[in-house]
Amino acid sequence: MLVWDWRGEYPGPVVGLRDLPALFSRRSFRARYCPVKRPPGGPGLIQEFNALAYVVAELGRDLLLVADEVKLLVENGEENGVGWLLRYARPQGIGIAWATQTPTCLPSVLLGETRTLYVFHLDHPAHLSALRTALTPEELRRVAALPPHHYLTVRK
Amino acid sequence: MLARTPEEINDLIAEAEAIRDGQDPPGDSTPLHTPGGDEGADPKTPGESAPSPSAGQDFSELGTLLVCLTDGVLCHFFGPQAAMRGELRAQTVTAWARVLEKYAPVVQQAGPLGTLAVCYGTHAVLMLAAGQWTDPLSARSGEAEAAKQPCSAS
Repeated sequence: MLVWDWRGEYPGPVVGLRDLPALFSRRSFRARYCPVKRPPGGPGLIQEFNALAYVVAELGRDLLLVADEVKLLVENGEENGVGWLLRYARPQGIGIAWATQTPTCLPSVLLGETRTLYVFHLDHPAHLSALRTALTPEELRRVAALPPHHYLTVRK
Repeated sequence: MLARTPEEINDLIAEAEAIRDGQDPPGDSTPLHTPGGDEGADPKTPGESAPSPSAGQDFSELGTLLVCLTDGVLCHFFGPQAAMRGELRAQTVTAWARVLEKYAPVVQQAGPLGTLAVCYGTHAVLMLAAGQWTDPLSARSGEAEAAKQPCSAS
C-alpha cells in the first residue's frame, strides 16, 4: 500500500520517486509519499501527483494507492493522474482509495470508475446533487439522514 | 513489477521528475495530462449567461445593463428550473463552445444586429433544451444556487 500523504498524517516510511522501483519489487510494503509543501491553489501539487501516478502506472502492480482530499488533484475538473490510474491501471491490479469532503465538480471518471463508495453524512444540496449519477434517490435520502460517523456503502 | 531494464527505469524516473517539476518530459511521451471526460467543461451552469456575443469588446454602462437585462429576461422565460446533472452540463457547454467556434465566422457576416439575434436565439434554445434535461423534482432554490459555486479545491 502506498499513501499519498500530502498532509503528513499517516505512519510508515517515506519514499520518493527514486525509491519506488525498489519498493514495488517487494512482495508487500506499506509506505507513504509526502509531496513538497506548497501554498494552496498552485499547480505544483497536481504535477507532483501526476509524476507519482506515472511511476505507479508504469512500474506498479498489485498495489493500493490511497489519495486523501482528492479534489486537490483534479482541479478544474481535469482527471490528471488519478483519472489515468482509475481508467487504465486496473488490469495491473492497481486500486485507488480516494476520499473527499466535497463531491461537487469532480471529473466524472471518479464516480464512474469507482466500484465501491462509502458515503458519510452529506446534506448540502449541491453535494447530494453531485452524487445523483451514482446514488438512487432513496440512497441520497439515506445519506442526508445519516448520523455522524455512519456511512452508506454503495457497490456498483 | 513490469520487466524493464535499469536504464529504462532511470529514464522513466527522470520523466516523472520532469513532470513533478513542471518541465517537459525528456522523452516524447506526454503522460497523464489528459483532461478526459470533462474536457472543455466550464463551471457555468446552463441557467447562467452564455458567453456574451460581444465578448472582448467594450460596452458602455448602458449597454452592459441592457445585455444583463436581456439575459435575465431570457433566463426567466427559457432557463432551466434547476442545475443540470454534471455530465449533461459538461456536454452542453462543450456543444455550445463547438457551435460558436464553427459558426462564428458565418454568423459575423450577418452584421452586428444579426449576430446578436443569432447568439441570443441560440442562447434561448440552449436554455430551453437544458430545461428539458433538468429534473424538475430537484428544482430547489438552494440546490440551484449552490450548484453555481465555482469549482475549486477545498
